[in-house]
Amino acid sequence: MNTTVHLFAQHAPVLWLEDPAATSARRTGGKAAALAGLADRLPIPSGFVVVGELDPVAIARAYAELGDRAGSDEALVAVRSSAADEDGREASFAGQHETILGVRGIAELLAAIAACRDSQHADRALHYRRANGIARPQAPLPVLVQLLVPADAAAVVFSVNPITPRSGEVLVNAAFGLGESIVGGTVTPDEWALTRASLAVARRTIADKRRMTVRAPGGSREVEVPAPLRRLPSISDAQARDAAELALALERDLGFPVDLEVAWAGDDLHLLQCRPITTLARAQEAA
Amino acid sequence: MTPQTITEPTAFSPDAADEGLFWQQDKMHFPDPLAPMESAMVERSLGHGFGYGARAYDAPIDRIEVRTINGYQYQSIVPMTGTPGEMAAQGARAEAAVRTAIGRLDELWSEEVLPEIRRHLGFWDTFDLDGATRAAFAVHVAQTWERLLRVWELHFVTVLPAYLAISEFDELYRGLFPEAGALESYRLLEGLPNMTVEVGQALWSLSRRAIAAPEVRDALTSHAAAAVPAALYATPAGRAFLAELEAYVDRYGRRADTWTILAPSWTEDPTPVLERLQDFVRMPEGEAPAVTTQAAAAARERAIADARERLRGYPAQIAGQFEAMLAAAQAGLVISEDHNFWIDNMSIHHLRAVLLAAGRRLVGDRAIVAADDVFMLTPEELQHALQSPGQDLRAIVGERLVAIAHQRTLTPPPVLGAIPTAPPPDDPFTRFAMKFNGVPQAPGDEREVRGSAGSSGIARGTARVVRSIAESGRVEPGDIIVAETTAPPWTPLFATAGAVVTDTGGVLSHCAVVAREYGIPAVVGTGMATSVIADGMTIEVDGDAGIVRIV
Repeated sequence: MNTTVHLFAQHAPVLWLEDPAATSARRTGGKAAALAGLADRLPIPSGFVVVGELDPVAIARAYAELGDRAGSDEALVAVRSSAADEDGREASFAGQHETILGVRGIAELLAAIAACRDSQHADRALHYRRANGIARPQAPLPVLVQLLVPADAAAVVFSVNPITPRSGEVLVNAAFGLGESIVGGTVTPDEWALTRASLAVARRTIADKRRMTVRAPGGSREVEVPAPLRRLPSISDAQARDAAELALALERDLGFPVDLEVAWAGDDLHLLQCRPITTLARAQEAA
Repeated sequence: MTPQTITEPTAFSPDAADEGLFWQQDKMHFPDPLAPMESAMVERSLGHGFGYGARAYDAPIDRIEVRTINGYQYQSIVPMTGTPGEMAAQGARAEAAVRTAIGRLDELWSEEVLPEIRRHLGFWDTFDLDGATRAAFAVHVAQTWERLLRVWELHFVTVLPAYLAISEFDELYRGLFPEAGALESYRLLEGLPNMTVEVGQALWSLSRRAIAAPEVRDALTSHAAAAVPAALYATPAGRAFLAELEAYVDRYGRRADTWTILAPSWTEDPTPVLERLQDFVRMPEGEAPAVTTQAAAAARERAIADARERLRGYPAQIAGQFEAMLAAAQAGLVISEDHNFWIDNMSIHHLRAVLLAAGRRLVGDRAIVAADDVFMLTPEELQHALQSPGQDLRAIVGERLVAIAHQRTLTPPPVLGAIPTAPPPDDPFTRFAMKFNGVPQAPGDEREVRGSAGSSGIARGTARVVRSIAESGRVEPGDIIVAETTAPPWTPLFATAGAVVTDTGGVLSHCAVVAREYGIPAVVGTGMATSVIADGMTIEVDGDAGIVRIV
C-alpha cells in the first residue's frame, strides 16, 4: 500500500479488512482491527468495515465487490458491531452489541448496519460499559460486514483454560451450526481440553446440545436439536486439534492468550474473531 | 404350564414371587386364552427372544418375564435399577449399540438374519413329518423347540433395531419440524416394496386373471368361498386357475390368521384367501393395491423433497443424520413387515405342523381323540407320550378344554401387580415401546372413542366388529373394521375396508403401519372400541386426531 491510499483511507467510508488502515482499532474498532491484522495470513472470511457517517453508495459498491469475491450476485453476509474499545485487552464485550447473521441484498444490509449502530445505545451494552468504567461512546460505531460462513459447526477456543490457567490446556467449546448459540449461551457446548504441549485430547465431554443456530431465509434462527442427535459430537477430535493449533499460533503471534471464535464449513476452518482472554488476569490473581 | 384349577370367582393375581413386578396383558398378539402348548411357545419365543435381544443391545432392561395367568398372556419388562451414574452409562451403551445396529440394518437382515432363518425353515420343510420313524420324529420335535429359541433370538435381534430406527427417525423428524403433525414423519416411509404388499399384489394379479376367464369368474362370484374350489374344479379353465391358486397358497400361505398356533394356516384352510379373492374380483382396476402403493410412493418422494428443502441452511452433520436415519427407517419399515412373514408366521406355521403331526401319532396311539388335542398338552407331556406310547391323555385334555372354555368367559385386567409410579424413562427403547403398544387415552364423551392416531384421513362407514379373520367375510368394501387387534394375515382386508379401529397397539403397531400403507384412516389402541361400538353402527374415524365418533 502506498501513502496515497493511506491518506485516502482517513476519509474512506468503507475499509476492507486486508487494507492496512483497517488495523487501526481507533478507526475500525477492536474486533475488526484484530481480524484485519491477521487477514493476510489466516482463513478469515472476506469483508469490510463501515466507518464514519453512513454512505449508502460506498456500501453498495463494497457489497457488490464482496459478491464478486463470493461468486454471488447478492452475497450472504454477517453484520457485527466493532466498538473502538471492544475486543481490547481491558474488557471483551462478547455478545454485547448486535450481530445480524444471514443478511442478503443491499436494502437488508443497510437496515442491518443501522440496527447494529442503534444497538450501541441498548441498555445491556451501556450497563456493561458503566460496570467496566468505560466512557459512553460518541463516534458512529464501526460495523463489520463479512461473508457469512455457512457453518456446519462452530467453536469458541481459549488458548489457555480460563478457569484453570495452570492446567496447560487449550479449551475448545463446540456445537452444531452457527456460533451464536455458543456465544449467546443458549447451548451447553461439547468441550475438548487439549494439552498445550502436544495437542493431545486430555478430556472430551459431549454435552446434551438442545439448541443450534441455522441459516434461514432472511437471516438465521435458533432451533431445537432433535433428541436423537443431541449427544452426537459436533466436531471430530481432528477438528478440535486444528482449532487448538490455530489458537496457539495466534497466541505466539500476538503475545497474549487468546479467545477465538471459529466455524467450519465442510472441512474448512474459518477464523471469525480473535481477542485477548480478559478474565485471565483475574483468574491468575485468584489462583 | 399346569392349567389353573377353576375356582369362582377367578382371581387374577400374579404368584407371590411375581407380585412386586408390573404385568401387562399382551392383548395385541394374544387376545384369547392360551392353550398349554401355546404358553410354552410364547415363553420360548417372545420371553426368551426378547430377553436375548434386549441384552444384545444393552437395553436398560433387567429381564423380561412372561406368564400365563388364567390362560391369558402377561408380560413384565423389568427395568434395570442403579445409581444415576450407572443408569447414564447403561443408557449411553444402549444408544451406541442401537446406533451401530441401525446403521447396518439392511446388511443385518439380508446377509445375516434372513439366510439363517431360511436354513431353519429348510430344516422344517425337508422333514417327512408322517414318514419318519417314531424315534426320529421325537428327536425332530425336540430340535424344533431348540430351533425356535434361536429363531426368536434372531427375531428380536432384528426387530428391536428395525423398530428403533423408525421410532428414532420419528423423534428426529418431529425434533426438526416441531410443527409437524403426529403422522407426518411416517409419510416419508410409505409405499416401499415389502412382503405384505407383495402378498396383496400377487392376489390382485390372480383376481385379474380370474376376471379374464368367464368360467373362473363365475365360480368365484356365484358361490360361497368354501364351495369355490369344487366349482373351479368343474371346468378346465377352473382347474388351471386352481393350480395357480395352489402355487399362491404354497408361496404365501405358511401362516395362520393370528399369532395363535390354534388357527389353521392358509395351506390347511385357504378360505380367507378365497374370500379376499372374491372381493378383489368385484373391484375395478382403479382400486388395485399397486395404485395405492404408487400413490403412496409418489407422496413419499414429495414429502422427502419437502423435508430436504426445509433443511437447507442446516449443518451438514444434521442433514447427513437426517438422510442416514431416513434410510435406516425405510429399511426398518420394510423389515417390520418382512420379518412377520419370514419369522412370526412361518415359525408358528411350522411348529403347528410339527405338533399336529405329533397329534396324529397320539391319535393312532389312542392317547388323544383328535390331532389338535395335542395343543392342550405341555411339551414335556408330549415328549413323554411320544417316547412311551400307551398312555391315555384324554382326561387331561378334556379337563383343560373345559378350563379354556371357562377362561374365554373371563375379562382379563389389562395390568396386574405393582403399578409403577415413576414416569417412564426417556430412552429409545421406552419411546419405541410406547409407540408400539400405545399410550392410555383419556376417555371422551359417550359417543366418542379415543385412541392413538394411526393413519391419516377421515372415513365414515358401517362398523364391522370382527373377532377373527374367519369373520372377515362380512366386511364389505367401505366398511370400517373394528377389532381387538389385526394380525399380519388380515392385511388383504385393508384393501377393501374404509378404515380400521383397534383396541390395542400404537402408531408403530402392525395395524397402523399397514393402514398407512393402504392409505386408509386408522385409530389404534382405543382400549375399548370392540366393546363400545356395536356391529352395524355408522361411525366416523378421524385418523389424525385419533378419535372415532358414533354417528
